[in-house]
Amino acid sequence: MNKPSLSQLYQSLTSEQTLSARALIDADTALRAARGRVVPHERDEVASALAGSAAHADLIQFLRALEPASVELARDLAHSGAAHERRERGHRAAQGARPRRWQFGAVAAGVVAALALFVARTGPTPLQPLHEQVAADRGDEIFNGSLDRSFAHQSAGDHIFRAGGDAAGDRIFTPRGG
Amino acid sequence: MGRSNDPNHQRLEQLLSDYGAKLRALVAAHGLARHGIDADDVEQEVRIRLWRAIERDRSAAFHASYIQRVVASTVIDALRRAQVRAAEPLPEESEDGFQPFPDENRGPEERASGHQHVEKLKACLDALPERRRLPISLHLQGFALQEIADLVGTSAEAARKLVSRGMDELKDRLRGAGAGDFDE
Repeated sequence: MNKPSLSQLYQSLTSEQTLSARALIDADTALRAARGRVVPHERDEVASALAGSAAHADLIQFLRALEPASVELARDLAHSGAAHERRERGHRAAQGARPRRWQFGAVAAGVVAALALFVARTGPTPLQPLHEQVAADRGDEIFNGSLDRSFAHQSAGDHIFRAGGDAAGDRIFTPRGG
Repeated sequence: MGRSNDPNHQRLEQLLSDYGAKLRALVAAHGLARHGIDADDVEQEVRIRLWRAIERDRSAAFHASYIQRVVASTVIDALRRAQVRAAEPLPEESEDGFQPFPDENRGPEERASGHQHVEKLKACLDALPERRRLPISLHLQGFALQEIADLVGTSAEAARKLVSRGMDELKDRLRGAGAGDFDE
């Protein structure tokens, strides 16, 4: 006949205590206990809770056994997250290339429009073509020239008139025979 | 493209599914069911909580400690709910009710005998010196020597001596109390 197990008997005893008003330890304390890193000032309380409650003890041992699976999941999620990030970045880059071409075109058109407006408002500039300036100067000269020519014509007329009237005329009307 | 067709979504689903299977197996293996914990419920809740965290930030790095914390919180919540359920009065003896001696095949005499053994064990443990009682209690809860050493703040060798001598003394006391011999 098998002897009764002290462990089973004790866990039966402490399973009853789980139903008492004893407060369950919190998750962080449970994790520290599972890693064997109990804070010194809470050592007695935690050890007593685990010794006196089968539920606490089972929780800690379960967490300890689960640790490798959690480490593996964390690693796989990190790889999965990094792959997701790379895909997202590539997707964003592919989407961003087309709008960027439009952006360059819009900026260039804006610069051209601004330049045209500036030129229209400020008139000739030192960069204006030389033949336009020459044409403008020539216009003034033509006008002045015509006035000068008509004035000169009048002066000449006067001169002829005077010469003819005063000198030559006088000379003409001076008697030849006499 | 639907989320179910998203390869990243499928990959995450697979990872959480694999983890959930391990979690469920360990919940069962560590006897959490006897405290009113349902392995399927715990797995489901942990997967939901982890999935929400992943949805919040797909590129976030999840440390193992964060995942462990999610599991610990979930199990502690489940234990609290089980305690509340167990504290509620039952109309009659129920199969779902808590039974400190879960052997359903035992008759009334065996149950009475088991109850006597428990009382004697409790009395003998209380009679042990304090410095031995805690390591022995942890040993009987299934903790290894190094774990006991970490919990009580001593070396593994010191924990081994405390447990060894303490168990000898406990067995002697039980024998002296007429409880007979026990295996560990």
